[in-house]
Amino acid sequence: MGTKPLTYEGCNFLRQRLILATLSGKALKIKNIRSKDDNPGLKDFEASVIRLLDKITNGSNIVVNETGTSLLYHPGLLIGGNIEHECNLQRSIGYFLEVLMCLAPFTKKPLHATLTGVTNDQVDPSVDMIKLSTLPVLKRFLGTDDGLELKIVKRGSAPEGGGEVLFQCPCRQKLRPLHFTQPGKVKRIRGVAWVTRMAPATANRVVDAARSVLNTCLPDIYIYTDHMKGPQSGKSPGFGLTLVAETTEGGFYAAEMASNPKGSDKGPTVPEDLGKQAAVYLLEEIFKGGCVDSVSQGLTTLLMVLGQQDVSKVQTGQLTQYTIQYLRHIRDFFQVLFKVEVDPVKEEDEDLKKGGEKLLLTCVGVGYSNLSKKVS
Amino acid sequence: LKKSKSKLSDKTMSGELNRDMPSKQKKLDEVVKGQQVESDSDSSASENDSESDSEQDVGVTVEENVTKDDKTDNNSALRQKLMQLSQESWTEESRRIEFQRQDEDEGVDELEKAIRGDHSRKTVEEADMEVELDGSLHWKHDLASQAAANFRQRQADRVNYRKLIYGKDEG
Repeated sequence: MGTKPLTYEGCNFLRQRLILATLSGKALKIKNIRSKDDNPGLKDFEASVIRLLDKITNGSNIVVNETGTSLLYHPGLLIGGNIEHECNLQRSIGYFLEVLMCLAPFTKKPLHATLTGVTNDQVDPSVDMIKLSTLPVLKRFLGTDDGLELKIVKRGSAPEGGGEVLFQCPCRQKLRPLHFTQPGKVKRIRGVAWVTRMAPATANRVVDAARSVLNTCLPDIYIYTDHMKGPQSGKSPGFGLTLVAETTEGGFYAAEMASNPKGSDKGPTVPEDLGKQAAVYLLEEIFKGGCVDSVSQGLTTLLMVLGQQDVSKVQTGQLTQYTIQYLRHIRDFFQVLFKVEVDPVKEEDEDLKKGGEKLLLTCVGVGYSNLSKKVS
Repeated sequence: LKKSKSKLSDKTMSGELNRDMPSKQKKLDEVVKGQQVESDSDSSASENDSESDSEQDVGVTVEENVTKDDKTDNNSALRQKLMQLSQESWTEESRRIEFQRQDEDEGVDELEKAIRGDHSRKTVEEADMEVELDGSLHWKHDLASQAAANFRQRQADRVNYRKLIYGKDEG
């Protein structure tokens, strides 16, 4: 409390700052949040994230000024346990789930969170995508998938939502260092074509269109159709496709596409176009390559820093803007700098055309230990 | 020679020799002048041509010698040798002059090239082309500047990720 809080300006990367402040125990002050905007201050979904943080911590002190343009956050201890949270409908559950996945391994009790809201939209990574690509990364750091689960109880499309997700994660005293520099080759593609409050044939049309693109590359493709009925299908109609490519070394590349929400200015989405576009996005993600995909880069770098005092190394594709900012924030909160170098292409692999430029991220963990967790 | 002697002796007998003498001399002069003109005009005259010319000249001298029947054989032989020597010396001199002129022309060309080269600096590609055309290796030419240019190009292509992520202070 006595130390001077880290101060930032603006509304960008609010989640990153809150997560890192919670994990590092440092106070955080954010000023000028949309101070020049017509609708100044924190938005509802940001306030919802702060409420979620308040639920999984104990002793946090959050002060927001009257206009919502300034925030002072003194983090408490991560307790975890059973929590229920109604996520704001402006963003999907994936937006909130990313926060929980960063904090869940360091809680006092294993996290058992029930989140309600929008499961699939066009802005944030959907619950399916997180389940297929980010959860395996978390599993690598935890060492086991025992007690790690992400279940879609109800599916709710944007804009009205109505979905429900169950997230369970065990807590650890220390995380394992990561050495993942050889992604291997893509061996199979899996996917989920989901439909809510629409004809089930729509999912088949999406699958056929996606297969028409992907079958030219490899034969092992299986796309499930998920058509939920009644109360399990949420409140809004919609459909979409989430694809994931699995490599021989256990890397996952995910891509997805969702239909325009009801009442959108863009009009209705054609299922065939959506299927093909999702397949193209997946191929682009495979081209970027690396051992973790674009969505999981941020979580990977964070958990590398929070690991034991050992060297962690991972190969990635091109860094996203979100990851680059994550690295800057990690430097501010943990004083850890990553070594970022281009992974040179071997001479024998030059003819294989292994996609875009690959980077090697190397860091030494801070030896973060979960003091709250009881040692049995 | 015997045949030509006999022919010429027949001619002298018939009184044609005295009338032909000035014409022969003229021919001889013309031949010499023609050779000089040729040597002036055609700088790349081959050796075969000059040999054939000398043969013709020898023939002419023989004819000239034979026309003077009243003189002794020794004198005629001496004359013949002298003429041959003079012809040989002339041909050598003319060749030397030709070679000198060729050398002078080549020297002028090289000088002109050098002057042009000073005025217009050659690009690296042109230099490479010259290296290829010459067939000789000039790869050691201007190594420092080449290395500097390559280094700058590599640095421009390469992204400094440390600087990109953490800014200048952390570089």
